[in-house]
Amino acid sequence: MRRRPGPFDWQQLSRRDALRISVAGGLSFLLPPLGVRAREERGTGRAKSLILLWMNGGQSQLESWDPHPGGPAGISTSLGTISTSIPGVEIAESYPQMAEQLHRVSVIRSLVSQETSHERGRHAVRTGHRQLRHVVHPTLGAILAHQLPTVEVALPPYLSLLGPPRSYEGGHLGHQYDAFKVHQPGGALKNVDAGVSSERLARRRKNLAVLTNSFRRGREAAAEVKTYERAVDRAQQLMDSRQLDVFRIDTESQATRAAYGSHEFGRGCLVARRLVERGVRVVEVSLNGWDSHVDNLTKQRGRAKVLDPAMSALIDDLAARDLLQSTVVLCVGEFGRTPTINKNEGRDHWPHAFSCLVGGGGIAGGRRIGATDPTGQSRAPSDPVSIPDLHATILATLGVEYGKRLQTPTGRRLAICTGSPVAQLLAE
Amino acid sequence: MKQWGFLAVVIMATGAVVWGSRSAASITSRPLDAGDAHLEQLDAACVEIWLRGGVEPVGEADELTVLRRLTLGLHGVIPSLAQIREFEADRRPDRLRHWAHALLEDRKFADYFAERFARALVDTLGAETDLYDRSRLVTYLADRFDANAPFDETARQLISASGSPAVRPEVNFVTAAISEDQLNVEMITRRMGRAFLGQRLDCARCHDDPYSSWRQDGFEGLAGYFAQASLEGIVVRDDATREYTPTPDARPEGETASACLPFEPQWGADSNSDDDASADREQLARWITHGENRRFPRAIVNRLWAIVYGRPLSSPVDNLPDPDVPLVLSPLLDVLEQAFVASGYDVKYVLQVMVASRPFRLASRYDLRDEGEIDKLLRHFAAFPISRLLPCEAFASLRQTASVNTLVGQVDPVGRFLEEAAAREYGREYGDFGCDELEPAPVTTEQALLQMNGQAIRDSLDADTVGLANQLAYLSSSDERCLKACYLVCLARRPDRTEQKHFLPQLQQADSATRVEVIADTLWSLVNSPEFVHNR
Repeated sequence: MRRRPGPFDWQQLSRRDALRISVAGGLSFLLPPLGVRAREERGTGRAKSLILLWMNGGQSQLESWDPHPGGPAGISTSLGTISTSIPGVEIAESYPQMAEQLHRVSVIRSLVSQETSHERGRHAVRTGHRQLRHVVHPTLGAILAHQLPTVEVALPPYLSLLGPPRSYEGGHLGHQYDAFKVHQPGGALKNVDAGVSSERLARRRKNLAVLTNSFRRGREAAAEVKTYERAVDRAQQLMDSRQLDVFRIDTESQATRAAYGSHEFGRGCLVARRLVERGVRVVEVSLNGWDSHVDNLTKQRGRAKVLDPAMSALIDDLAARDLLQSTVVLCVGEFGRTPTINKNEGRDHWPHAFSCLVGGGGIAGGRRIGATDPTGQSRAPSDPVSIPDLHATILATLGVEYGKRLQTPTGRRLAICTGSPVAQLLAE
Repeated sequence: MKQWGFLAVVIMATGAVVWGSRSAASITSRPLDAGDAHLEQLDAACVEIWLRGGVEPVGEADELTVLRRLTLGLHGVIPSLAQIREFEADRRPDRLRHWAHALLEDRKFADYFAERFARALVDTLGAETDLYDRSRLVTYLADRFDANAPFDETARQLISASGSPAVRPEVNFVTAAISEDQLNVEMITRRMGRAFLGQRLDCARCHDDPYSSWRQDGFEGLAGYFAQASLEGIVVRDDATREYTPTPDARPEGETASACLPFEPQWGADSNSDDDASADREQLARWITHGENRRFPRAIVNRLWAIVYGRPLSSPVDNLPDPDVPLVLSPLLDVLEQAFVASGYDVKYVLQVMVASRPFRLASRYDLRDEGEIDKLLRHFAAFPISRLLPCEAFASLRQTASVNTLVGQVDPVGRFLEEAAAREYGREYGDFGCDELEPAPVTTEQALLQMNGQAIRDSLDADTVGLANQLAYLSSSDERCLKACYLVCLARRPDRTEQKHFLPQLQQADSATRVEVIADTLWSLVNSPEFVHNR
């Protein structure tokens, strides 16, 4: 039986197709050269990738990248601060390893959103658009998977490690652009082993084709049947993939694994590095537990113990493998936290001026963008960076025409992104 | 708050005894009469919708297909081979009507519907308190469904619940919304609105909803009732002086709102008292379930329809248009609303009307290729809608395929605990959407992988010595009978000619060493077919 092509069919494009695409694009000269090891892993392609470290719940900017040492009590963090590899930039003392890596990324201290609830905040930061009633925007990852199809990669183009189970990243682009979810990164991918001989597997698939044809009769145009068949096709392709070893980190050295940290977020970051090494377009790794309405200091400090080694090891590892120049790394959550401490020693939601780290992939490193009011009096930061501007910067860096309009299933034509790249972040 | 945790656990443990002695009002359940007036009205409403829409309904599905819909709709699981054999031996006229009643009288119905309603009321997630025990709330709901308690009474008990969640399990509806030791008033108001009014009040929290008649002060008035409730130690108590404080993004700081009914305040009056009713949650409960408040019965029948048909009459299930807005489906919804109210909010009765009606008996195949025409056909209820099994249904059905007999569930506590853990793990891997389970959801690669290679299918179909494949290999008197049994167990039908031509040679060519494997592979293919994973 001839296999039906599907939009998520990452095995459909041949090496020749890939070459044709890159030549037609006329952009290959802009792509950075790859190091020997990276080239060995990723082939001759020069695809860029994005790793999004998602701080789910809302990381406190004051206990991380914008600590305001010496500010008024109740506003400034009571944590100490440390110098970093960016001259003149201090961060919270909970991030000693990131302090050494900071020059490889830039710090934005003036990120501005309009959403104070988790759900709307997540939507805004992950999609670059405010949540609307009748349109579901795709996430940044889904846009990249859609606009920059991966070639010669027998893996999903977009994965979410440790992310929420209830999420539809594809939005109006369709569910084929939803992220593939991995809940326990580091070990073998679950449920890809049929557990039977190749002969039996072939028999099962032939049987399934007969039964699918039976069910399809009289239901040829039923959307439910088509989407189920596509999912089964994708699952079978993944089962057949020869790149499934990418999910297992036991082939990494003990030292490497230890550097990332012995927790699932660290393992997720290490898997993310392995995935982009193989040419996967987008990997998200989520870290929960930032929503510190109560006892902010303890919660933020506890999370930093996980984030600091994992993120610094990731950046260092990417740099050592010549992958940082082709991989954008973004660390952000749905918002920051209030400059004032509440009655429960916590900080509440604060989208008006918060921080993120972004670098790699051609984005300038070692820069500090914007500043917040150390007294907490003024909401508005200097040099504000909107969420759409952050998205435009990343999309432009990765080679996506960010202002392009895409047609939704209902016929509306919506811009991929409404922002403009931040000039200071574009590498010179 | 932590010091109350241990005490709460102790009281939770002893509360079951206290609760066990409580009796529930019930409505006697009996099989639907063949000439039931509401059934005739419902069928007439369908004909009216078809005529108005200019659509021709498809033909009827065969009875085994309808039996499968019945067990899935009322028990959340496919029929067993034993049930199919028993059904085929039943010679009563209109046996499906009798089977629907029998399934409703089985405790499995109560357990299944309790879980489905609990998702609407409290989702599937935990709460940040020791004072919430979801399983007790589910058991309470199951007891109510089992006794066929009037649903308006159940709703009133839930909305006005106070006291200890251990002694009064319905209080867990309130404690489920506790966050950081405080009742999340917005959360419980939203849940109440969705479950009992069929209205999403989310927008009205911050502003007047431009898409409905709900205003911001309407939301705040409803929230004012729940703002009176708070935790005092390990019990929920109300204080009429407490008011709702909107969050700063909704109202300027310092503004508060007191309990207030958004319209028709006379519905909240206490008919047993001459005094003006105080603005408490009992008043709110009376207002919601008042006989003239059409939103309540419409919200419930829309959800009941969604459970047995796989999709609601009006979508989304928890956001119906205002009752007076004319819609294609209005004739159906009106009849079901009247049937529910006239029967005294009898859930089992209205379910029997739904599953005996013509739309439930229609086939799910049609000779249409145009997506617009298919959409029109389905919008006019002129064909049975295909819907994918929910994770709980898929898991239970996979388990059922392991046996020719009807599974009754684990009796011993350890076995039950392990089985529930396996179901939870399956749901987690599958992506259980909890309170949003009736929203259109994608079929993911991960779900397909779980269905093909997950632990559940391995447990059910492994070709070991006690598995179904082994039983069929040794007990079937011929290859044809073996294949038919495989089909009946998994799909509740027999193979057609094309399928026989494909599958029979595999069995005929198998030797004694490979026969079990061939049968196991046949069963694997059947449970991974689109026919198995859909209600059709």
